[in-house]
Amino acid sequence: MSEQAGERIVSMIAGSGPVVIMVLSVLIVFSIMSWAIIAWKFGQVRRSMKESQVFLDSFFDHQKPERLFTTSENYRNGSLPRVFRAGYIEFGSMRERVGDLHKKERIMLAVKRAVNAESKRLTHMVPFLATVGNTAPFIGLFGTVWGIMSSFQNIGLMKSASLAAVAPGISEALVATATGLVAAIPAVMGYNYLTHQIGQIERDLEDFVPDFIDSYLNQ
Amino acid sequence: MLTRVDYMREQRWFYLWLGVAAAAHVALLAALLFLQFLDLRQHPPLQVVQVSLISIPGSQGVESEPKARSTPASTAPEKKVTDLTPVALKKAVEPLALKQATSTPEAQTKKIQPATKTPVKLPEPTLKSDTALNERKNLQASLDNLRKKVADRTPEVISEPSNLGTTLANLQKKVASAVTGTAFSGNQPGIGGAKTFDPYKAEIAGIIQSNWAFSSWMIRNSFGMEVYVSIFVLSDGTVTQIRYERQSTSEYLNNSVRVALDKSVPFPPFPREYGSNGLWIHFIFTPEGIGH
Repeated sequence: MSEQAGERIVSMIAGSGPVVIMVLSVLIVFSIMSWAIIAWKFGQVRRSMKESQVFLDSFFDHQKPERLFTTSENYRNGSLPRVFRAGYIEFGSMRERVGDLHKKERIMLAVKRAVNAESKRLTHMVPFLATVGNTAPFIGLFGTVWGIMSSFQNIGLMKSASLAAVAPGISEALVATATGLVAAIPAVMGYNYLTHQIGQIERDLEDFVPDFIDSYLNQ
Repeated sequence: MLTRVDYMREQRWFYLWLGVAAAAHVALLAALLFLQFLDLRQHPPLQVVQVSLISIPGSQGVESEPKARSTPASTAPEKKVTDLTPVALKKAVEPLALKQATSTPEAQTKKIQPATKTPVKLPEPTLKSDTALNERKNLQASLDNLRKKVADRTPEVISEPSNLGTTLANLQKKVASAVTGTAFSGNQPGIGGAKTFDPYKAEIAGIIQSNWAFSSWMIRNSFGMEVYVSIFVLSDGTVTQIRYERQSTSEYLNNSVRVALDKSVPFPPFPREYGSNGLWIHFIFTPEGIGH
């Protein structure tokens, strides 16, 4: 009986043409990659936000760059500790050069570079989700159109326009559209969630960068 | 800035999640298969033990329709009246004869009597059987007898109306009115009552007919729209074998027949007169209805 159950899906897919099978394969790969990116980025963003929050609490408690730097070493995944570390390292190198008039600009440049790197790290591979969300339904639709074309050709060969002759082909072809939607819907949802969270982290970075620089210079 | 170690660590996490996602997809597909398996367990398909698809009608199987087709060739030398009647007429004779048989029980008994007397009449048709043997040597003896009976009965059926013209007109009217082919419309009593009216087979045909969802509007042309099915029924009514002797060119008709048979089994147990060995019943499904 399990063979029959298996045969239903397997025969449905095996009955499709090579183009539809290729489309299904591409969509399944898209789906796997989308879920992997969603899970990976979800963990990354969550860790980053959590550690940034903890670091900010420490920042407002201590206000001493040396101790903050030591504390930031414990939060390797947080965005704010990373940016703070980058600025502090630059500040440390500037301290040795006495009489440098462009100290603030240099530190600001280093911090900005760190913010960009952090933004790049967080958004890495996220646009792939947008690509899947936008293209997967169309790829599925292409498979369906192709499948229906083949199905109509077979109907012509069978010389019968009965429902029994038409329905199986269309049903097989619609599997491609369904797979496209299955790949696209989580990708779009994941993309929207991640871009929102990453945007929030970027705004936090922009807000606290001046505070970091002031804390170095007031030293 | 990302150090090389950080970058490697990030990549490792990504590959880990990629593996997890792939495994999840495999698990999802397996779950789908399992759900279908559960669905099949909850709604098991009706039991049809064996189905063999044979393109040519079997030797033991189809009795009525193939015979009707072979009738013009084989009965041609036997009866002049049948020479004049086209194949359509021969097919159409059956419902008329049935109507007569069902409407007047006396007439039915009258028709039955010759059938039972046929062994007595055997010496007369032996000459005809010789000609039949000349034509087709491998023809079974039972088929010969039936054909002779058909030949004997045909004049009675046709002689009842005043003349051949009116008979033809009546029959054409019958055919034109698209006989819905109730189970017993195209039956044994048709071409001369070679067999007696069989209430059990008629009942089974009625059951199948009631479960047969088929619309002739879905069929464009009626060429080759015949499905010959042989069913082996045990004494308790269970069906152990369904043989598709011939399938039509329309998948819709074939599927509808298959579904109708699936829905109809098991049949009611058959009467004691049939014995306990089981019974082969042959049906012909056409867009007009079921014949057996």
